[in-house]
Amino acid sequence: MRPQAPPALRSFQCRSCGGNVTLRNAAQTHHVACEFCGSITNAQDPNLALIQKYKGKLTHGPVIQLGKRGTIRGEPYEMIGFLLRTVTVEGTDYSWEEYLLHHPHRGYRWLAQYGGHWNFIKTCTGMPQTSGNDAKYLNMKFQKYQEAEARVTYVLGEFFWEIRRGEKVQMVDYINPPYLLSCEKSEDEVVWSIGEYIRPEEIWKGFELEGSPPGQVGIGPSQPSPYARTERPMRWTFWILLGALVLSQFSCLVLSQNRKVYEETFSYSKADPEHAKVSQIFELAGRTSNVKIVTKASGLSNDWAEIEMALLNLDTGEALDLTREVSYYSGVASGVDEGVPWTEHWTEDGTRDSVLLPSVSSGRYYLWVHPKSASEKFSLHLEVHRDVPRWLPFFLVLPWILVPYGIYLWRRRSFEYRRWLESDYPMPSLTQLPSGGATDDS
Amino acid sequence: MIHKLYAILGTLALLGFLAFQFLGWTFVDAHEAHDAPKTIRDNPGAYRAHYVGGK
Repeated sequence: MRPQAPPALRSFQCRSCGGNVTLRNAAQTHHVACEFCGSITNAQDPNLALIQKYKGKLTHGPVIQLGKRGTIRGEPYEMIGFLLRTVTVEGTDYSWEEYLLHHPHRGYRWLAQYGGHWNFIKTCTGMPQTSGNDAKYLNMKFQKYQEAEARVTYVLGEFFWEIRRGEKVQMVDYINPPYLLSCEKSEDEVVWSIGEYIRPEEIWKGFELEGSPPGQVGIGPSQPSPYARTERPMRWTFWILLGALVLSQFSCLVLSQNRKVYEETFSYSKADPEHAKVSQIFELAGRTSNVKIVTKASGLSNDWAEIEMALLNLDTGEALDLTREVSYYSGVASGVDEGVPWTEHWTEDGTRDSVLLPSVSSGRYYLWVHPKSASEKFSLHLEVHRDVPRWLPFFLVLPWILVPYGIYLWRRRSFEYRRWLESDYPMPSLTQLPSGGATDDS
Repeated sequence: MIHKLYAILGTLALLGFLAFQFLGWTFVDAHEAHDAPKTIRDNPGAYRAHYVGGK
């Protein structure tokens, strides 16, 4: 870059108020607005012609004073101009501040502030390409955020163009957080500029401003998403966890023995002196795993049976006691509905029961069965299955993987939803990102 | 940071899943008893005195 001439200080008396107007970059300044009365003077005119007199009061003070020097991103700048631009939407004025900074070698930069959100902006050196609501610049894709006619409503300091209050430009903003691409169209020219979101604390520190930055309102258009950094690792973690769970479940289904190791039918009669019975001995092989006992009752009629059971290890004497119930009820219901008699047969069939016993080690086992029932006669068919694959753990663990990631996605999209609320193109709902979705992957 | 917490939570959930599946854990409350007499097979009714029950 060709070095520019060092700034030349020059001052003159304002033709409107007589105040001392200092030109900090006299070589390049075209118009200057008096910092005491706001009247605009042509600094290029040898006679310092008054361009525009300001009759209002100077009510808006920039937080960075004219002439204040500071450092942004490691480069020294001097604040030489300040203006307010205003757009009117549905009868409401929205204004933002623009601070013109000057660097002796790098030239001009802008700091723009709205709602406590700041962007550090410079003029584009190339021409962005636009297509529909998208724009491309420096291999980045931007999405149109808003378009409005902006007018200059307040101006202080010096500027390198012919500035006037009331000057209007058509502004189109595109975003790809933390970047902002802005197009200003006037009758004479089109100016593209690119900005990057900058934390207000960085400005306060760089310009050594007193106090702390005022609170921010909403989400800035180019404000980086706090979820942008974690989006990719979260997605990877989710797919790895889900993949591991599905693979583990699949392995369990394939590797489980799922073998019926015993079945037998016992008949009972109320007249039997002893209802307790033991099964044949059966072998439970393999690793410590579950055992499923299936009970099917037949012969119960409008009755139930409580079955005391124990799975006993023949060698160790250890036992697992459990109590189950089976029942069978049926009947006929009848009545008259609006003069029409009706009859309905009903049944409550609870004759089949199954129970899964946990962590049963291998060994020789038998069942002890002791049913209690008022039925005269019934039979119990018992089956014992070893190492039964289950879906319950899968569905119990699945929410622990899905829900945190779902909450994360919801919060991330909620952030984007709030960002786009201020846009001309708000997101239709929290469940849908705008097409292109470049906001988080910048 | 949040993805690390998520990874830890997910890994613990997976370990729980593996324990459920490979150790055969269930929520069934089967009462464990010990030292059942070896004579039960000869006299099944004798186990009633040892039976504690459980659902």
